[in-house]
Amino acid sequence: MFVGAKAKCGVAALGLLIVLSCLAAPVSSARSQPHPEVRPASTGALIYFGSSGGYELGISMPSPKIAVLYAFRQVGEGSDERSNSSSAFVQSAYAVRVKGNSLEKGRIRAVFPTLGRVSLRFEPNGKRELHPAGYGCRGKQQVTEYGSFRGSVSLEGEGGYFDLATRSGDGSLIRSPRAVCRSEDSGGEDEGIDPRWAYVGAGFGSFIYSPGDGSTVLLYAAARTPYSTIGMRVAHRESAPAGAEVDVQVLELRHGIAIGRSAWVQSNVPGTLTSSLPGEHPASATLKPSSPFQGEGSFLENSSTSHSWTGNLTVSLPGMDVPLTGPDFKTSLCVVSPLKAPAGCDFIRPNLVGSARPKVPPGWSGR
Amino acid sequence: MSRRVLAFAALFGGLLLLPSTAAADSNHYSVDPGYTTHVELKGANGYRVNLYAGNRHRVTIKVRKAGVVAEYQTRGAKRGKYGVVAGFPGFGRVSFQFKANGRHHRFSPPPWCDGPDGLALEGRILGRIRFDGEERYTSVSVERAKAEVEIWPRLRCRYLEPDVRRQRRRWTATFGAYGETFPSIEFTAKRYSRRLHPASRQVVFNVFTGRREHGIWIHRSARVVAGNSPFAVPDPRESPENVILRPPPPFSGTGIFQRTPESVFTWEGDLSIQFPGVDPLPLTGLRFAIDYCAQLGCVQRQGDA
Repeated sequence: MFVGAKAKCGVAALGLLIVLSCLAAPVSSARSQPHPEVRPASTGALIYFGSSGGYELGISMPSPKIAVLYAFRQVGEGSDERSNSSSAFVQSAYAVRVKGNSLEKGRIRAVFPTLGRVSLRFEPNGKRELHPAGYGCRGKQQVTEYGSFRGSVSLEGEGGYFDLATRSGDGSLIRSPRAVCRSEDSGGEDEGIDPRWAYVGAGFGSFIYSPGDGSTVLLYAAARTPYSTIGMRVAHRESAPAGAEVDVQVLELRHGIAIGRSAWVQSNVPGTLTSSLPGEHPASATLKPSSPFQGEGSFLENSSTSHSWTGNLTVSLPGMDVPLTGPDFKTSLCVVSPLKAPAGCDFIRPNLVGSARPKVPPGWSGR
Repeated sequence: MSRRVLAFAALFGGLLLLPSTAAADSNHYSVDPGYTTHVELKGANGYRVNLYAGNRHRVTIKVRKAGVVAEYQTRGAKRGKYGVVAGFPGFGRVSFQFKANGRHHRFSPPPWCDGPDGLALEGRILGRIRFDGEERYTSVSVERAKAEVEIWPRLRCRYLEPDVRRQRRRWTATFGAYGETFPSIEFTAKRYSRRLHPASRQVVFNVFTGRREHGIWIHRSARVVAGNSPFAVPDPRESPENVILRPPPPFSGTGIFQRTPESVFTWEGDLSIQFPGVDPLPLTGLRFAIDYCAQLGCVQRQGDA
């Protein structure tokens, strides 16, 4: 079947996002020594539906049991490294569990609570590619078949930010035979995190997008409730023009669906981020990023155990506006000189502290 | 090292050791046989004037005084076996023949080259050399003068690689400002380690600029050695990135390098270099790319194109 250039670009963009998301996903093993691990035979799928409401839409099935709906959009102009401009990406991802194992037969039936459902059947077009079993794995080659998924798709974003009703989408089906792989310790797995969140966290971040220079200013702000987390990273890279790279991610779990919404802005607009200089106390910073952000946030280090983070900063993410300041946030600010810390702030552990004064046990006096 | 060897090394470095033919391997290059006629003259106002003319028809007049050098370069035509005719529009004209007096001696090739010894012919030039610097900061006019012709055979030389580690140990801070847009300027300041002799606690300021004027290339440079105080870091612990440079004459004014609240770097002030006969050249501003290294790392800033 003929696949148009736009569709190819969309598939490529979506594929990139999914790869980035998977890079951010935790690995299933938690053992400390490398050991052989049997990877069972599995089937995955990737489908591109085109755009709606300005968002590129697609579904990824990393395994027959998980379906992830992606909505992706670029906001603003492409950013030239040296010019006073900014470019932004916003993305949302919805991960649900899928019953049964019909993907092996080329069928997808997934329900995205409050958003809609998809019911599709794969029709190959004859094009197929073979890939090795994977790094550190022994087994038969993976087979990628290309073609169309046909059936019915009815999905609507919160508040109608996209509205998709279609009967087909181009895509591929990936069959991975059983393999024996060398497994190593993932090092940072949090067993309390729902596995679906692993697929909705955006792959944005300095280690993927920055060209390698360390950050000389790095501001973190994070808030957590039982069903959601908000995380923001603001970085000014060494040698970069005035401005900052702002990365926000909101993760929530509701109605059995894991939702990750994120925004990434590379802003070369002067005034985006100002801060105190290295060694200056009290440390302070003001953040005023461009669209999709509005307002500004102010950081002030009251002490090593108390930071205030105030202002009216919000971000417009797909389907919701999210406030990014307030007493619920814990913050951390790192400002270093490249002459003293050539690697910058990126390898310095953040000191996330809230605005509330810590409780002092009886008999202790704070210094 | 004798003055002759130094002069020969400078000649090789500046004029002649351009890889001229295919090298035998990637570490070596070969130098075609050639010659250079060298005339050393005294200019007005205490300047030394050296003239070099070679078999590639390049004619250079180098004027120097107290660390300040101006080099004027043009192309000429052969006059006689080792003489030359060349015009320096707006500055003067050179036209002479070389007459050997019969005395000669041999000289060794530079240490990084292999080949037979070269031959230096002594004698004098007959004709006319007339040169006036800008605003007549110096001038020279002669019809005959002592001269020497250095003739070298084909040489096989190896590429020289700077020993970066050795250089890194010698200085404690380096600051470079590079104006890559017209006119190109390179300004550097290096502060040397206190353990190093004789440059202990000294700062060496260098500036180099080049442009084409009146159809000839003019390169100007200056090198000044000063004490530690012209390279000031007011607060090395809290603000190591803030530097104040106040080099002595022929520089004037102050250059200030600072980190701003947006964590970008400014290079401002009235620092300039005064070359003889021309307007002062500013050495600060947005057009300069900066490379400042001290302590454990470096700070870089790109210049405005």
